[in-house]
Amino acid sequence: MSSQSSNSRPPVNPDDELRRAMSRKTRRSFLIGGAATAATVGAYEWLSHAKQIGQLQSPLRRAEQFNAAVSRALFPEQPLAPTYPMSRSTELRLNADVGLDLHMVPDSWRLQVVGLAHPEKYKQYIEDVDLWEYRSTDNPQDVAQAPEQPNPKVRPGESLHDAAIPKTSSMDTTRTPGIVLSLDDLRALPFTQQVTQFKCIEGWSQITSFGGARFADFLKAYPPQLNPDGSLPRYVTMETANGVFSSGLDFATLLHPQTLLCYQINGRPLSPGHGAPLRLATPLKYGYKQIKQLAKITYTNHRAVDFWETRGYDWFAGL
Amino acid sequence: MATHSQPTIEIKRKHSLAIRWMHWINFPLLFTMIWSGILIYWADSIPDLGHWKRVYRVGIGSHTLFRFFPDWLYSALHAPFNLTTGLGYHFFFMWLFAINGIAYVTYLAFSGAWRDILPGCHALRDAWHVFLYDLHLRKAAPPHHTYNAAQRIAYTLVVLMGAGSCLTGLAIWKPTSLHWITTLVGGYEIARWLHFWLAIGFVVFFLIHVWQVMLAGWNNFRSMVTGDELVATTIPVPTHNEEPLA
Repeated sequence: MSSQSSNSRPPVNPDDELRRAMSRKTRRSFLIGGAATAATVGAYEWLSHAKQIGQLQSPLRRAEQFNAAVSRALFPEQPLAPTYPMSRSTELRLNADVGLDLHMVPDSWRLQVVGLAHPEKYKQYIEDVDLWEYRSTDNPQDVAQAPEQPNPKVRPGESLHDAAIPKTSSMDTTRTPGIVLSLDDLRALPFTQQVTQFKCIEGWSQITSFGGARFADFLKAYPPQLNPDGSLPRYVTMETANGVFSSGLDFATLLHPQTLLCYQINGRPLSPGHGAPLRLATPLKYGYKQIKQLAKITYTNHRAVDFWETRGYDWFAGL
Repeated sequence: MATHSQPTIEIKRKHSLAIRWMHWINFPLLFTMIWSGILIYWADSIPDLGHWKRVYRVGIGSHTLFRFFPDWLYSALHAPFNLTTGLGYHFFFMWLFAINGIAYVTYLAFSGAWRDILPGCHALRDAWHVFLYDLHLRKAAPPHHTYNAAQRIAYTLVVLMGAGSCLTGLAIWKPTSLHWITTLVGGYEIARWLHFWLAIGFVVFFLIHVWQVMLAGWNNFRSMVTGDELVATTIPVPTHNEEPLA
């Protein structure tokens, strides 16, 4: 830099000095850039190989839980979803039959309800709802007798557990007292029909008419056992008869006036593929939470890991 | 004798540190959003699985030229058919993408750097000249200050596209809770359609952008990393015309 003191050296071209300065700067910047790129690649590698929870990398799972918390905080009172005139209703597409018994004998269907305040006071009370037998016409003996008034086999110790729902928390000997409701019991509740947009996580959507009982009305008729502090239990777990499919929901969703225990689509009873005789219908969740052929409702404080959550999907799934 | 000769070039600041970081951070974020978006879109475009059709297409009337996406594209990209991975990444990186975008717009607003980017009154005419110049149909380089008119239009448009992606994304993400936004953008199906075409728009922007950067050369590319450009200086009074000197 000190060219003025030496006569022996050739004069320095100031352009060269600027070019050298620029080179130094370039080297430094590209080193920082290279380090940042390496860190980014490392972060992506870490993320894609992170420990999985229910077939999804745990940071992504935590992000979904964060998103659910944001949704709950921003929309504690979820607004009503837009509704449409009946003329815009379409025939809902059949997309999945996971957990469905398409050959269930209709008369053998009941809705088991567990976690009630006083189950024994209902006439539909049974000591152990898990012993309720759902029948399928694939089974020859059921075809033969097709009973008009099937009775639950309540004697403990009988081996009717083949199709019973696997329980997570209780031991085998524990009974699950509750009630078993018929479709007429649900029809006795106020009827609501709404034309809303059904949305599938795959991307498609359809405007369809759903009819049934508001879950809020069901809750009034069959109130849960409250917590010691007087609060509602936090969740409801819904399951199919064979327990293969399950869907967990919180009460913010269930108390919403557009959340239905649905037994009609487009004014007709549900077809087996749409989950006859009863399914959940709500514009607050994607279709994968709207369980078909609903057979068991459990009021609980335990957030059960449900069917699609174990397969990489978001539990909350709130729209 | 020329020991104290005047330099003929100078190092001139072109991009601030904040702009450079936000620009480069946006690259992996946008890439991740588009990549995960492709995985999500794929779940709705498989005829074999009984899905209706490949939903979006390019065509005239009932005649379809191209459907998004053909199978060869998925296999060429080595994309896994995995909706949940797509959703997981999309709903994680959306925050980072939005935060970086908001930080960028906020910075532009408060630093005054928006003056470098917003197109002027004659932007369209000037951009046309840039276009002709790029195709070697016009000899004289169009005037520019930091950015020429075509760049200004592109860089403003891409910010608006980012805002549009966030808005339509919200409309798709919360169509019940934020149904007024979904209604505002024309409904759920239209929101998805717009969101998809905005993503295609980003890909087109990216391709043109990379092509332009390659045309502009090393000195210009380096300025997005170092912040500085070597430019010819005119003695004694520097003018506004800084021609790159590679």
